[in-house]
Amino acid sequence: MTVFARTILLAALLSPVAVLSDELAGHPTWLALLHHDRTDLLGNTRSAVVSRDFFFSPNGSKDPSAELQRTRAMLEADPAQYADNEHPLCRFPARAMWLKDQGFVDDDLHAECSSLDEWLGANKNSRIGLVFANGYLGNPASFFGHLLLHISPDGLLPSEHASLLEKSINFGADVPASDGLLRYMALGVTGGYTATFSETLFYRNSQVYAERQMRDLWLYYLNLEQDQLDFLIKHLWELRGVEFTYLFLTENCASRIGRLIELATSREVLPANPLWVAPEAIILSLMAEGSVETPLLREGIHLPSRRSKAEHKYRSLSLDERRAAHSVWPNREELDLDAEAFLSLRESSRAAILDSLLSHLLYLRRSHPELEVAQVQRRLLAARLDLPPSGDSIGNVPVAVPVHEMRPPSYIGVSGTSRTGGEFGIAVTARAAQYDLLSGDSARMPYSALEILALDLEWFGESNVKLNDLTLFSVTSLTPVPHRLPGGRRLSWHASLAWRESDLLFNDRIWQAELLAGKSGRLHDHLVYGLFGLGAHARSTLDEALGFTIRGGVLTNWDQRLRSNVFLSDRFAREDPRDSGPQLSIHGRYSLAPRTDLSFELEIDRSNHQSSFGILQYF
Amino acid sequence: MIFTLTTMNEAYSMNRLIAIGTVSALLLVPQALMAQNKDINPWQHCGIGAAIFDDNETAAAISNVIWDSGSTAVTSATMTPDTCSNKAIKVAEFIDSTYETLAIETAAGSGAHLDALLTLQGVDESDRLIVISRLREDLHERASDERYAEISHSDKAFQMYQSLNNAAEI
Repeated sequence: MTVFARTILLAALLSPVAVLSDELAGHPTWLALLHHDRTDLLGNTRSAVVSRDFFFSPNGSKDPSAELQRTRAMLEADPAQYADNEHPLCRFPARAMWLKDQGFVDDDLHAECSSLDEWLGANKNSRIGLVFANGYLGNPASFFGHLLLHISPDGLLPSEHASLLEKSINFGADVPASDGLLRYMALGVTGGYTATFSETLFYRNSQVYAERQMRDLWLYYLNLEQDQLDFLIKHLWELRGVEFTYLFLTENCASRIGRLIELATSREVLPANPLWVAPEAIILSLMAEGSVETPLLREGIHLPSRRSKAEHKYRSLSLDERRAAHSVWPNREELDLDAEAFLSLRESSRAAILDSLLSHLLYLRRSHPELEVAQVQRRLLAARLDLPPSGDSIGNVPVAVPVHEMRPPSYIGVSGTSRTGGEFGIAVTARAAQYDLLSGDSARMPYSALEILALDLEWFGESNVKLNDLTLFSVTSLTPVPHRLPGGRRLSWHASLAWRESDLLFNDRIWQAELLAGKSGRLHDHLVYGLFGLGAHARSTLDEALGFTIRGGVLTNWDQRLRSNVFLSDRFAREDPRDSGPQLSIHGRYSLAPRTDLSFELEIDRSNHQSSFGILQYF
Repeated sequence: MIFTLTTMNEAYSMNRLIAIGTVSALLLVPQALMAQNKDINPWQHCGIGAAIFDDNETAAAISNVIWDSGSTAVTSATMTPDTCSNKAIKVAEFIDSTYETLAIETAAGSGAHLDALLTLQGVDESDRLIVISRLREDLHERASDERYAEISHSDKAFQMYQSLNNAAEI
């Protein structure tokens, strides 16, 4: 190369445009616009977008610099050569907006983009919201909740009826209907699916999540500046039909929506290299962002599930009205609209009773579609229509604990412990996620538990620190019929995998997998449950493999702060010389502060006992 | 022979033309009439129904993707701008998706879904009580008949759609 050529090249490399180009190619906003946030096993980064037409450069998914150069060339292409909606400016308005702001492309670029203009016009002066759907134990992918984007026209007060007709943007994996659960789980964790953003009116999502899956929803709004809002709306346009890699733990609805908010606000919403991203973590992170006066996320409205509505309607009835409700509908097959207890009440009471029964029936039909209650429903409907309308049929459903106020999923605790023989020790407990039967959060699925990675360390006097319990996962669903009205046969179940001491004595440890099923029901303010099933045990001292486990208990929310779970367990195995008979467990939790609990536990079997009293801090 | 063939071909062509004409007339005339008929059934004529009302809840729950654009239901439709206007489709889709909830809210006389439906239909605030009253009367009449329990989902939804169109004509 001649000296002249070298000089020209150096000048080109050092030119303001070249310097700016290098700067912009690695700029967080440019990387976010390309969704350049995936890291492979070798540490190489690339875009999470798999659609080839999302990039102008053939190597654009891996090379942000090449994509930047090619984008500039395409955006600056002569508009006269393109028909309406065909110019690259119409396809990538957010890229154009940002590159204009950076002075990297001509500020006067313009093309005819009627479809884009229509989209921008429809979403002008809108508010962007987030809808959180609480966890759903009917599908492992939904255990930790779900997050959707929501677009509302500005100026309207948030309300359930208004939200139904507003825009809802969902991010989810495209799973063929033929894929079974196991295949779905395997491919979901390993990146075997792609995912897309989809747009629809919110009522469709509300029907699925709140009315069919019985999940409470919370709608929050983002406090965005106008230019941030414009930028996000334009980028959402760019994402229509774009396919992303889907990874259940890290490339899911929460992480993708979190990254969109990062793009719009230039704030860090997600941790740098998260092992997994839960929807509620995004809500909590956003609530902590912004100033005290104007947090990035502001509280919106609670959209109760059909289950919550039905339960609330029943609980709103007076004792006489409840009694009459049971007289009218004593069991699934029988309906007595001439019951004296019912007819003797005022018209408004009868209307309230029938509203409650109809709401409960709808809950039943959706959670137990096999039930034949169509005639019961018809007669109740006709009877209700005989009475005058009674105002708001939803009623004021009590506000459940908002997502951002519920207990964080992890905790660490310390307790004093005593056991048979008068020994005293110290125990440390910790959990990675998520909630348990004593968490008492109404924002979670009621009477359910989902614990991931929990451990229990003990130290007694002279002995070494011992790992008493390591739970890999423990899922429990005791969901009963909401109240004493006729219900379907709802299965309660429990599944867990743990490594633990086999009983209250040391020196015998087991891997224990349990799969139990049973029934639960309400008795006044208590939830009574019974579970029975298989327990597979791999012992350190025996070859025993399989046994049966039976467990029955009473779960009680004494008040807003005090909760207890008293249960009796026994395990039956063919040969078990260490069998210490049934074990009684009394677990309690008292809420001292929003993130602090006192905890107490007592375990008693035929010959031993152990008790502990301590404090748990959630984080 | 050739003549005959030609004649046959012509006759065949003519018959085909007549047949096409007749079929077209049968299709077009009712459509033209339907275009002016407020009783058009979007479930039958606009492709609403199965495509929207997804019974495969497991698949829906697994994928978290329920509908891809909000308008995919109108695929195999014989939709024309006259017979299946955008508003009619939106109202019909809403009723189809939320019928069970709408029925109990109509019985109670109010509710979020009922409000949303009236908004979608463009019913003024001042007319809503009357419209709701008419919807209740119609539903009462239908629910008083034992056969109501056996009617298909789409027929019930269509009845409410008709009822709303009639009630909204104030």
